[in-house]
Amino acid sequence: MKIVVIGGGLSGLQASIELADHGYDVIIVEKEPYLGGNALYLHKYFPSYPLDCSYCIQSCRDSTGIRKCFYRSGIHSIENIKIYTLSEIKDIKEENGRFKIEIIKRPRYVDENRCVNCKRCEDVCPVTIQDNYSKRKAIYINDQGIPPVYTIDIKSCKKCGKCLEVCQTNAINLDDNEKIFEEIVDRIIVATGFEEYKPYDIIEYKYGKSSFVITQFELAKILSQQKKGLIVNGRKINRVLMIQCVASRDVRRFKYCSKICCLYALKHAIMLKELDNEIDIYIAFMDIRSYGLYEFWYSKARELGVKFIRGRPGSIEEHEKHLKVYVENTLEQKLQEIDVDLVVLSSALVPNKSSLKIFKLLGIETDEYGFAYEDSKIVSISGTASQIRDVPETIKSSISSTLKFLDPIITEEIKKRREEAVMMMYKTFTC
Amino acid sequence: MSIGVIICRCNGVIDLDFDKLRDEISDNDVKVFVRNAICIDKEPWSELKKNNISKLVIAACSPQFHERTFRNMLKNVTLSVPFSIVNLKEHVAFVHRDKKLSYEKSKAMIKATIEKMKNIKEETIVEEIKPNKNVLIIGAGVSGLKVAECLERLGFEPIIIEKNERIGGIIERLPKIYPYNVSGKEFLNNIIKNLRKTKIITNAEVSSVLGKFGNYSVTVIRRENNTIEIMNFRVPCIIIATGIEEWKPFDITYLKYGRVPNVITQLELSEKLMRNEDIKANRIFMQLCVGSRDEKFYNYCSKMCCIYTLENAIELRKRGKEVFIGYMDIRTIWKAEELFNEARKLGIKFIRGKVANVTEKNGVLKLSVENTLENVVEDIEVDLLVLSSALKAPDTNKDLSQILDVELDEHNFFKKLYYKLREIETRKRGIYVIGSSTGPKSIEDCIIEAKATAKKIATEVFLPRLRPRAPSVIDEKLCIGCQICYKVCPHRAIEMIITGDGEKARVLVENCKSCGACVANCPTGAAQLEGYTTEQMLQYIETLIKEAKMDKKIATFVCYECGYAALDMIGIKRLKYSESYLIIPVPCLARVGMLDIFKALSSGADGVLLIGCLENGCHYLKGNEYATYLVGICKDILDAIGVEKERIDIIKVTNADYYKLYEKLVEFHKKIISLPKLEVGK
Repeated sequence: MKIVVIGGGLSGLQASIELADHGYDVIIVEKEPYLGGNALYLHKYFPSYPLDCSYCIQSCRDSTGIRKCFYRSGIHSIENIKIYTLSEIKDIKEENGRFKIEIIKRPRYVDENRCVNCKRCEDVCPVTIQDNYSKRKAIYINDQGIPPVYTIDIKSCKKCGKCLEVCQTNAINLDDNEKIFEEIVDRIIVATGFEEYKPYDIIEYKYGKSSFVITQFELAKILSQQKKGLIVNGRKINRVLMIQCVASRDVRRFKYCSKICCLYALKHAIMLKELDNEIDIYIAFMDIRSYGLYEFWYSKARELGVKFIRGRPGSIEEHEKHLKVYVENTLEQKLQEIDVDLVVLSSALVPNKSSLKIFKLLGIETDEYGFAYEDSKIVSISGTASQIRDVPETIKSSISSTLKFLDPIITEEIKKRREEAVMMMYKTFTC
Repeated sequence: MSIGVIICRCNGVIDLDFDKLRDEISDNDVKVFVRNAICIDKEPWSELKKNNISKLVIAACSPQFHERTFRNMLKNVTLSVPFSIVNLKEHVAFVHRDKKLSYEKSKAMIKATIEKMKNIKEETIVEEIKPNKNVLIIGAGVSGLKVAECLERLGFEPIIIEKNERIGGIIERLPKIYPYNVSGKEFLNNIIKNLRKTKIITNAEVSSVLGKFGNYSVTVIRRENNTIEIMNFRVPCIIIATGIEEWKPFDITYLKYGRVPNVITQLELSEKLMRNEDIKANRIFMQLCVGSRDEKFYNYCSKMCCIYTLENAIELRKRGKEVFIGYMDIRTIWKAEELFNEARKLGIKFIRGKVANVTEKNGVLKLSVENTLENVVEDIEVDLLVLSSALKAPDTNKDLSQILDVELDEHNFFKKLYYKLREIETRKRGIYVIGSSTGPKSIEDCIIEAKATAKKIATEVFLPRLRPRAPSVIDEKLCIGCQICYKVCPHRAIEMIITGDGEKARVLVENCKSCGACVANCPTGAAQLEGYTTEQMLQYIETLIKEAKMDKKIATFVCYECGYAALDMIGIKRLKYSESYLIIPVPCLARVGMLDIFKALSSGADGVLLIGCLENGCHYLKGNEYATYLVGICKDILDAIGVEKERIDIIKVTNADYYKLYEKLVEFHKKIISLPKLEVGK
């Protein structure tokens, strides 16, 4: 049985690992240069405290079943998983109960089978790109990048050819082209995931106008780069206001509650406090929804001195050195003015843009916002493509999405393949 | 019988004096190959095959990245040898400046690894147990029934044990469940009707569990009509699905629950609605968060009460009643928000606050409600007060956790193995925990967990190989039955047995995760872990420290999980630290014993640093905790014999915190430099 997993984020990878462990052939199609999806940029995660790193992967193949960091999971070298990065699905055709899928792979300009990740090209590359979130060269690799090979950002590349000179394995090809692949598969898992809504249309919050109004995901990226204190756009941040339920629980935009924004707002508040105890943090909320055992995060944040204001900010004024926020405090029934250096919007979470096309191709029905409904026998929806979930729920949902593809009868071939894979493990004594 | 050493140049990144290195490490048994880009080039591997080597040392980049790649390469040339990887890239080339010292460090690490490989025995493959197709499920609530349904489809024959007379758990009492829009009973019946091979035993409890993954033997006692029936089962896996129950808020005296008949709990109201009973009251007040989110009782949020409270409120409102809801925060997460919107539209009155007092007169309840939005105390007269009381773990969890030998958390829920990835597993392999047994869960979550567990069991049990790679072995002749290993084993993989020679420890091989806690703590050296036996470790440490010709040496024990990853990340970021750090990888810090630390110091190390996973993040559950104790004890010993105790230190990190580790490396090196050379034997 061959299964294609669309989307190489947390959910897609977990589903792939589960299927591969069971002895099936898996194809992962990911549109970005590296696997990982949203999780790749989010640095640290709840719910474990102290916060630990973005995520790990656990497979039965690692004989003892001990989880491995994402980057060292070796998922790119599992024999029955084939990875297409920088790729998108162009077409899916049903043929005698199987699917013919057409995959377009954009050029990476670095041969995945030749690059050994020696980093010499990066050293000689003369182009540096720097923004709030990262500093990199025109030829770059993500720190936890899977596959562990370089990518050229062809828009900023000057084609000076210096990297070609130092690459001893001839991995770089600046004239790389788009390629089209065809695969025949039996089953499909859709794990296209979610993204953060960019609230440009909420004019009063000045997102996109002021460089000191950012979203939670942007803050997460900034936090992953900070070592001491918080500096955004060259400004030392001493006071932060977080606004909850931006565009979610909003009759005009998204009626649903985005579920996890309260939790990561609390997480970020705690991280900021741990980074620099002097920072004043305000959270303007409607209801704090730290559901279930996550109540711990709410208590922890209050303990660390995060200030909670029940109310919805009406407007934000930008001044030369600070932002002035007007909040109607519904607990104290007064209009409060707060001067802050940075406003962080907990914006609604919405389905990934590219998922719509896939749903259409597969004839999957969605709700009014674009989250997928019930799936069919041959297509399974995994993770956040069908609803917003936190990390543990996403993992469980991905595992469960593979269940219906399991055959009650284990064929000899699958047995043999798995035996082989596990036997190979027995030979290593890494030390 | 020869050992091959293959050194990768990695496009010139690993830049050592290879001729000198070859001279120094080659001998009759050791053949050295220096090649480029061995992760993509197949040629060097076929050469290894031709040279007929029996063991292999690969000196290249991080095994975290390429262990599997190298394994595939070996498989391609059909060379089946045990191998070990030395990291010369992330741990040397990327992080050190001094060429001469880098050479010394690399040489020492390669030589030490060769010494270790010399003693490695190849594993002999033992007969496996054949698991049968039964799975024991404790609890017949929605999760238990659903997992049985899923397992049945995969060909298993589950057995469900239910302590009550009726099955169905909490859900059976709900008149309408969100988001399925059916009654709880109907929902359960849809699952139950699919159960064909499942055996459901009611009025029964588990009384003992013995054995290991793949072969647990379970005794169940069934009590009915004064008869006791004892049943025995052999199962490969056990699933805990004991669920959750409603707390009866007798302890909050001012709410008068149990004293006044028209103060009831939310689930009691649900039952009435379920039975289609006529609710006589016209004005109804529902109070949320009774006992939950309360430091005095249960400090967590019960998650589900907002939702079933709103369902009941909407139903009553539709019957024309006046309904008030007192709340702290309404937690209708995700699309349950629509219930909240509907309730407001129907004219249900929401009051942010809590009932502070209740007085009853002629069946009418007078409530004093603190309204926190308007900062007033309101007096409301109602006919019925409904308390959405906290959901709590059943009291039987305590006994059950002892019988199964798994842990409970601070709220008496079953403890998950790991928060992000492994929420359905426990510390004991083959014992799964699902549904609300680990905390309040929505029905959707219970269903998902049930499915996920069925998948995990199918993969683990159906397919071959239940055994781990290289489990611990306990030599019965050396074992004195002290029970230390039995107590330290984080995965409960050791049992005590009575032999003719007294009590002895034995490894439950299938449950062993090869962390080495037993090896580090065994007083007689009876427990051993291939690859990390006492002898192999001591030899590795001695060779490593003695071979490195440098001024100051720091023996760095690195756990093979977060510690190693964080150290790799420093390499990837190419931050520079001192060459003095000589790396000793261990599977988990649990493997580091006092012997290893003092061996390092006596071989010539000036300092010892332990790098492990973050608190609550140890991949083997307890390793970093044990190591912290160990470091404390070793410091005391050093202090007692007059050596500076700052020479030993521990740091716990994750790879996201690589910068913290980097700062520690710089700081610790400075400290060691400031101390005088450690004179052994003085």
